[in-house]
This record gives sequence, structure tokens and C-alpha cells, in this order.
Amino acid sequence: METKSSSILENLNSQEYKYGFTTELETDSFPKGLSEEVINRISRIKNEPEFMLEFRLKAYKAFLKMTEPEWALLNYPKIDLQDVIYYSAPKKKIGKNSLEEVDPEILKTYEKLGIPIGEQKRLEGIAVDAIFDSVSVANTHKKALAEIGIIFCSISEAIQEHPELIKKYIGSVVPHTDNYFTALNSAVFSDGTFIYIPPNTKCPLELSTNFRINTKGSGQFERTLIICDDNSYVSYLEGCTAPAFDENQLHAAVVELVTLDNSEIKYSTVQNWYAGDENGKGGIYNFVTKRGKCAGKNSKISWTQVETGSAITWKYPSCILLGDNSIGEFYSVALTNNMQQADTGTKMIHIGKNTKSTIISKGISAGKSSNTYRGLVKMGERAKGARNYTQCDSMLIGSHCRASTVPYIEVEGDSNRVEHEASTSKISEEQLFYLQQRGISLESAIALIISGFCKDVFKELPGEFAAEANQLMSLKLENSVG
Amino acid sequence: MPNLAERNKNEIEFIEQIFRASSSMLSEIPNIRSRQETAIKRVTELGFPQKSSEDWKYYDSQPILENFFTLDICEINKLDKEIIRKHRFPECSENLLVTVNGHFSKELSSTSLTNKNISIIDFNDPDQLKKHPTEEEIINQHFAHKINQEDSFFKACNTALMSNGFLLSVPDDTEIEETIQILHFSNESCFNQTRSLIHLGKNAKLKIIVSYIGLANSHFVNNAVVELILSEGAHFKLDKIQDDTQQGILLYDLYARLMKNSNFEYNSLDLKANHSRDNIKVDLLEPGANAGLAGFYILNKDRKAHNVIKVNHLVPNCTSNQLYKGIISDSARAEFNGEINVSEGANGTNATQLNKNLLLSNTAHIDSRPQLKILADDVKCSHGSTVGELDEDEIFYLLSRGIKKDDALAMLTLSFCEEIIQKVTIDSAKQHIRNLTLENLDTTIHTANTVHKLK
Amino acid sequence: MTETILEVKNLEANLEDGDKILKGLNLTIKAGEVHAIMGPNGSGKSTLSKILSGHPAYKVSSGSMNFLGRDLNELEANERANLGLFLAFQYPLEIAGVNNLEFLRMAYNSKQKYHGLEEADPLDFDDLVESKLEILSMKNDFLNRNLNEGFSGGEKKKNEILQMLILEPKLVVLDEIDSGLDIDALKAVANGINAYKNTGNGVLMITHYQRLLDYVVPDQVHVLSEGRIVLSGKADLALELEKKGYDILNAKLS
Repeated sequence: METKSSSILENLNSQEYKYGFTTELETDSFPKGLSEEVINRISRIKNEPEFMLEFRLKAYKAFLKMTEPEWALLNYPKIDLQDVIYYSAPKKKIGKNSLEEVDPEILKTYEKLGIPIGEQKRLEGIAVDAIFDSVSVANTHKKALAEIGIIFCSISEAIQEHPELIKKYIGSVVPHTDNYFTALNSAVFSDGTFIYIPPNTKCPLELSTNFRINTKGSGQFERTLIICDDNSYVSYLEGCTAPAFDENQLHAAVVELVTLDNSEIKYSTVQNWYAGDENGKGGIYNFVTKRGKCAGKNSKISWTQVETGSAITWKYPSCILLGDNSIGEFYSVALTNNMQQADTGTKMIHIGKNTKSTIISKGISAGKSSNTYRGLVKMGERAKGARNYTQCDSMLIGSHCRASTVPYIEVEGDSNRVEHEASTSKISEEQLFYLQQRGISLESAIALIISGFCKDVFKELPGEFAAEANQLMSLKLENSVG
Repeated sequence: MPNLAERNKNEIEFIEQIFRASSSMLSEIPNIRSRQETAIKRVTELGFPQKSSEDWKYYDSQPILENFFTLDICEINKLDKEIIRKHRFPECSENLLVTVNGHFSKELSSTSLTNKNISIIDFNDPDQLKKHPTEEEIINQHFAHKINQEDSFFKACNTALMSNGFLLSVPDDTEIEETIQILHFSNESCFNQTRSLIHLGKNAKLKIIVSYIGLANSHFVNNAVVELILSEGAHFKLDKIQDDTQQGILLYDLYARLMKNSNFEYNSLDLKANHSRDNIKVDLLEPGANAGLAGFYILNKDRKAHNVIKVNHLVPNCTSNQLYKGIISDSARAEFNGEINVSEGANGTNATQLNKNLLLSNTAHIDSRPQLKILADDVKCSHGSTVGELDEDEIFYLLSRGIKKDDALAMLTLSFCEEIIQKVTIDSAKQHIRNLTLENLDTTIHTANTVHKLK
Repeated sequence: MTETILEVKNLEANLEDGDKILKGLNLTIKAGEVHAIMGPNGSGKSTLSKILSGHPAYKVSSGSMNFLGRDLNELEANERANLGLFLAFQYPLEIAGVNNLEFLRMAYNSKQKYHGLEEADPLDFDDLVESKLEILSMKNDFLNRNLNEGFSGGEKKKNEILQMLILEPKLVVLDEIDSGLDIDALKAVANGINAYKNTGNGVLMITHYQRLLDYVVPDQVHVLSEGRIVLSGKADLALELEKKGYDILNAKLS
């Protein structure tokens, strides 16, 4: 039965991507291509200590022997890594100490993105690190944080100023040999965020990084490392946008989190990279490895992600629950529309005793998109009393999209428990009619049902970001039929 | 063609052995023969299953390679009638089919079967085929269906190497009331190819209970393939019991194709195999078809059970259910790998999938993968998986009523599997399954009991 | 002169590419009137309620539906609602994750906005809801649950009446509001309806049974059969139907 609301659901289209503008800037960019020389140059430009160059070259050697993974339910042409720019930075001097030194064009860009980084316009309660192509261009609230011993800076800066911490932790959660993309990232990463929270400190601000890919043809290979020392807490949020280009752009990041005894990291992502147009032209290829290690006892790592952008998403934020009684959480909303493809989920590796994990995944597919949840729950015999609860729900909008659920549950030992539930649903016409009969417009009715579907995840987002996420969902699904 | 140079010596030898053996197995019947020839080609193209493939990720096929089973036709030993009597369910004494090492045995099967408006045709008997043109047509149409696209190595092996098998066919509008029992015996060192084709005509009804039995302490592989076609409105129920000695390996491949409003019920009871692998594929080809798949596995020592299930909803308005339950102790391992595939346009699909496991020792292992792959929006699909131990509160409740701990544990464990046992058609089979379960549990419960005492 | 709220003339309607369900239906409801429609299963009772409120699965092929001077056929379901047409569903839908109170406020504010009135802030709205809850003897925690999710049959029906009281419609269509209710819930629902009805609005009750009509007394009773109103009368017609069944139709019509 072809009725009005069903035809509207069939034709849901994302509203024009509002962050798709380009900033005209003079940049220092390497020519396209990957080689040992490129890696040497990156390291030299950044004036890195010897151990970093060694780390990069070792990763590059391993990378040369690896192949692109093929097990995901993703279909895309092979990425030509020689067609990528591995380093691109705004030419004007980067003023890390005073914002007057920041190129006004960049300041304008961030204002357009709704992220004021100028001194006067700082966001209340949030410290921001702004990463533009390959480098960090601004970092707010740094001094105030330093006074209580918190280090919040770009990873390049941390390599210079805190080499002992970098040396100890980089690659300790995600070894460079982990997969094809981590090896690549370890070899060529250009910047990223570094956070260290000292013992007995609850970080008073939300820490946040905004990633912006600007230059055409440039890849973004950022590296984030967050360490939360004993009895500490930090909440971190990242946002991502990119201009709308016809070509695909590669984003291959590595994020490592470490929590020591009784500490907690809450990591939230609102990913709104450019998704390509409705015919699948352009958009970001997002191949990201995010992993946290609950190294200390009673520690906790919580991932919350809202994935709406990217032509391709390949991303599994994971937790290694090493410390006894440690807790891992993964809350995810992944929305795909048009020709987008997402293969995303998590791994919860239970090693310590009485470790617990929770996975809540909500996938929404519309248009001709494909949305896959892929998740591993693994419990070894040492993990006595381990518990996992997983809930994966999919919602299909229209009849040309695909939703898949691919869990891997591997359990050993008689005191471990796993519970996995999943369901698939659609927005029913009867539901829409019910809401419309109460005077709510069709668009609002769809938005209301979707926000209800995502509620369990959005409530994990810090403060006003939940409202923002709701709005983002509506924008992405706004219909053009009217 | 896989690069044989990359494969280990055993694999190359195995495939070469199949090649050599197959030439002497070719059927005289042209339609079967040509498919066997295609199958041999598929065997070499596919190569031995690798762990890198998602479907074989958790399966260790080394024991098959390492034991050097003979692929030649195993000599048909004279079977003691006593053994048959032991495994035969009294309800089925008049409706018995027997195969030994993959060979259909007319002498051991009941003769009264043919009076029941049901055809049992030996694949390897050209004379018999000539007399039954309808059945010949069924074989031509359905035997080794789409063998040129076959993706299972072992099924291709079976087609290439089978020297004997049977068609069981029920004509339109015929209901066979009695349950038919099929006993498959295997003995020492054989890699047996057991093959059957089951065809139900329109609105036909049939119930079968199958047992795979190993003869005393013998090592063997039983590579069984069943092809099943249910015409419009047909009802078929199949109970499969693995009643082997603990040395056997059972590879069981069932491919069912369901037409309009047909109904297929399958219950797999894995009680004794050393290791077993069920490869079940169900294609729901016309609207209104319904498939209910259930399984129960009880594993101890280092036994293994693998259930790999694909239910394909290809058209609108079909239903399917999967319910698999397992009890795993010692260092046994189980895999549940169930998939629901809903094709584009298959609206009105209603599919469920549930896997529940009890782990009773610290080295017991389960890999559970309930998967959904959905390409239609108007569907109801759900799946679930649980792994756990016996509920402490339930144990306590029974203890507080004065029940002994061993009995309480046995009671709760048995109640866990009773849901599946209840589905079996024949009462004496149910009791037999309960007995075997309890026998298995005996050692298990002692282990479990110690664990609980330590807590 | 009393205001006409609903005027349906020669209405014919069918399922989108399906059978004709309404075959020339006439019905006029004036302000202050309570009408009841009864009729055997499959006579088109529920369909009528859905067509009036604009369900997308049905198509009007001829005839007219006039609501407060507007042609209903030209309005979307939500516009009809905003104008003051309220349908209490026979099977209210469950919507996961949507808070009942927030939903109520959203619906209320949609109407306010439509009429160019000020939208209610959460605090004012809370007060409004509290006052209505009392009429239905409902508990406060009801509001913090998800919309109809996990509600019992009675709770769902009460929630429909609560929505009605808050939206203050001009015409309320109650589609088998009495089905699945125990006697206490039935009384609470009837209380709600009686509290709502006044000289300025109209009620259309669709029901199988006389039971509800003991509590909410209709001014007119209509019998719907095969897509048309075949018999109309006063409240006693319902009693007669209850006693003798729909067989009397044949007797009366022949």
C-alpha cells in the first residue's frame, strides 16, 4: 500500500550539509604520496625526539606487510594511499599561546562551526582543542587547567614537553601492529589531543576537541591519548566536520585511553563528517581505531558515539577490562542515509575479575544505506564473575536500506554471564497517524519517534550535546518532499 | 582454484585422495554422474575450509585431516540384528530404514514401508529408476541442486564420493501417520558419505526420526547430506539424534527448500558425538512458508558441537524460529552461528532466534553468534543469546524445600533442556534422550556441585 | 441557532486500492450533542473514525465531510487535530522512549501554535495536567512513563481521555473506548467524558455495547450497516439492540 507517509519515508533525504564550506587558506602541504621520506619529514617538521621517529618507522615497516581488512560489510573501491596528502597545515604561524596569532580566517571558520575559540567567546565550562587538517590551531583554558596539574594540549606539544608520558603510553593500548589502519596512523599521524589527569583530580571542565578537515585531498591521521591517573575523572567530547568535496577523503585516527585505579574516562563523539551526496559521491572514509584499557582496579571507560557523517564508517570503540571490577560501556547511535555505509560496534574484552560491560547500540538506516552492528564480547576463564548486557536495536526507514547485526560472543567459564538482545523495527504508519491525530506534524512525529528510539544513548551525552544530537538526527533525516 | 602450495601437506593429500577415489564412485545414471563430475571440480575450487572464513572461524577441522580416514567404500559388515533392536524405537518397528556406512540396506529395513504409498528409491539402481519415472524426475530436478554454485566443501565431497543414497518421496495429498525411523550406522576408520533426498508433494505430511550411531569405540567421519523439498502445503517434521559413541565426527548438511504455506520442523539433539557440525540452510521460497529449528547439545570432556544455521527469507510473509540450548562442561566447546537473512521486498517476515547456554565448568567454552541481516523494512526480527550458570536462587529454592543438591541440580538442568526434548515426536525417543542427558549430566553435576561448594 | 460541528454527506470511502467500505453515509452532529454509533462487526464503524481523522490508508471517493465550516478532505491529519477533532483510538499505540508528559506538552503546544496562541512552558503545563489527572483518578507517575509503553488496556484508555481533556477538542470520536475496561476504569473514563462535554462541543461514540451508554447518555443512536446509517433513534434504541441483537434490523427495515 503506497500511502502518503510511506512515500515520505521512502524519500527521506538529508538536508544540505551545513558545514560543507571550504576555508580559503594558504597551506603548507606535502605532495601526495606515502614513503619513508614523508614520514621522516613529518617527524622533522615536528622536531620530534628520536624515539618518536623510531616508533613511526617501525610502524611503517609493519604496515608495508599488511593488507586492508575485508571482513566488514562495506563495499568501496580500494583506497589509493599514494593519492593522499599526509601533511597539510595553515601557513600562518600557529599561535598556541595567544589567540591573536591565530589566522583570522581560521577563527571565522570555527565561529561558523559554532565553536568559538576566541578569548571573549569561550564556551562556558568547556575547554576546546581545535585541530585543523594536520595541526592543532587553538587550545583554550590551558593555563587554568595546568594550575591543577591537568595537561590538555596537542599531542605534538606533549611529545616535546612530556616525552616520558608519551613514551610510556603511546601504542600501549593500540599496538601499531593491531591493524592496517593503526599501522598507517602510527607511521604518519600529524597531530591530535593529549590529556593527562593527575591522581585525585576531577577535571572541572568538559574537555573537547574539534576536528576539521579542510584541504582537498588531505587525509586526517590524528592521534589522541588520554590518561586518567588514580582516583580521577574526565569527560571528553569530540566533534568532527569537513567540507563537501566530490572526492573521498581518508580519516584514519587512533585513540587510546588508559584508566588507572578507581578512575573514569567518559568519551563522547558527535561525528558529522561530510557523508557524500545522495548519489554517494564524495564523503569521508572513516577508519578509526579507538580503544580504552581499564588498567586499574575499579576503573571505568564509557564510550558514547553519535555517528551521522562519513561515506564509510569502520569503527569499534573498545574496552580492555584488565583491572578487577572494572567497567566498560558503549552507547552508540549510528544513522546512515542515502548511500552511506557503516560497520560499527565495539569489543568488550573481560580479563579481570568481576568486570562488567554494557552495550547499547541503536542503528537507523534510511535511503539505500547499509548499517551494521558488529560487536565482540569475550570472557576468559580468569574473568570470574564477569557480566555483559547487550542490546542492539535497528530501525529501517524505507525499503531499500539494509540493517545487520553481527555479534560475536565468546565465553569461557561457569561464573560469567552474557545477555544479548536485539530487535528490528520500522516507524509504523499507525504510530505516525497516532501522533498526527494529536496535532503533531509528520516531520515532528518522525523526529519524535527517532529521538525516543535513541533516548537511551542520548542521555549519556554531556549537557547540551544531547539536544544537539537530537537536532542533528532531524536534520539528517529531514525530508525534501514536504 | 585455491593455491595448493599454500596449504599444508595433509590438505593436499586429502584433496588428492578425493580426486582418486571419486573416479570409482561415478554413478551409472547420467544425471547423477554429471553432477558428481561438477562436484569434484567444486572440491578443488573450494579447498579445505579455512578458519579465516567467517563460517569456519570456530571450527577445528584438523582431526579430519590428521586421522587419515579411508575414502574407499567401507566394507559393509554384517550387522547384528540385536544392535538394530537396541536402537529402534518400538513405535517405529514397522517403519524402519537402515544404512550402514552410508549404504542403504534393504535387508535390514522394514519391508512394509513400500505399502504405505511412499517411495524409497535407491540412487544407484538404474532398473528401479526406470520403473519410477516420477521419482526419476524428482531426482533430476533436485539432486545436488545448483552444485556448480555449491559453497560447502564437505557437501561437494559427499556428492563426488557418494556411491549410494536414497530418495524418499511422498506423493501429493498423502499423510503418513506413523513416524519413520532411519538408523545410520558407521564403523571404524571410514569417511562415510550418507546421502538422502526427501521430497514431499502438495499437502503431504511426514515425520521422520533419524539416529546417527557409531559402532563401539570406532573412529569415523560421517559426512551426511540431506536435501529436502517441501511442496505447497506440505508438513515435515525431522528429529535428528546423535547417538554416536564418543569417537565419531558427524558432519551434517541439511538444505531445505520450502514452497507456499509449507511447514518444516527440525529438532537436533546432540547427545554423544565426539564432534559434530550441523550446517542447516533453509530457503523460504514462497509466501506462507514456516520453519522452526531447534537444537539441544550436551557436551562434556573435550567434545565439540557446532551449529551453523542460515535461514533465508526470500519472499514476503514467511516465519522462522530458531531455538538452540546447550549445556557445556569440562573443556567442551560449542558454537552457535545462526543467521537470519531477509531479502529486499520480503515484507511481513517474522523471524526469531534464541541461543541459551549453561556453562558448568571453568574451562567450558561457547561461541555464540546470532546474526540478523535485513533488507526489508516491514519485518519483525529479534534475536537473543544468553550465557550463564544455573540460577542461584532457583537452586536455593529447591534446597529450602528439602531437595538434595545433586537432585536439585539435575532437576534444574533437565528442566532447561526439556523445552527442546518436548518437541520430539516419539515418546520412547523422548525418554531415551532424557536418559542419555542424565547419563551425561552425572559427571557434569559432580563437577558443578564441587564448584558450588567452593563458592 | 446551534452551531453545526460535523456534517457528513453521502460519504463514500475505500481502502487505498481496496474495497469500498462506506457507501453513502450521512451524519450531522451539533454542538452539545452526544451521538452513538452501533453496528455489527465489519459494518465500517472504526473505518468511519479513521476517515474523519484522516488516516492515510483510506480514500474518500465521493461525498463531503464538513467540520466547523472546513472541508476535512483538504486537511492533513494533524491539521484536523489542531482544529479540534480528536480520535480516541481503540488500540492506542506504544511509542518507545517518548516520555508521556513531554508528548502531551508537544501535542498541546502544536495546537496553541496553530491558533497563534502562546505555548505553555513546562511548569504551567504541569499545573494543567495535574488538574486533569484528578478527574480520571490517575496517579502522577503515569506521566513519567513512555507513551503507552507497557500500559495495561485500562491505562491506555485513560491516557486517551487525559489527552482529550488537555487538548479540549470541539468534537471527540471515541472508538470503542469501553472495550477491555473493568467497571472501575469504565467509570473513570465515563467521568472524563462527562467532564468534557458541554454545550459547545460534540461527542461521537462508537461502541458495540450498551454498557457505556449507561454512563454517558446519548442524544441520538445510529445503527451502521454495510457502510450506511440504516436506523437512527433515541437512547432507547440502544437498549432494544442490546436485548434483541442486530436481527431487529431486518425486521425494522423490511
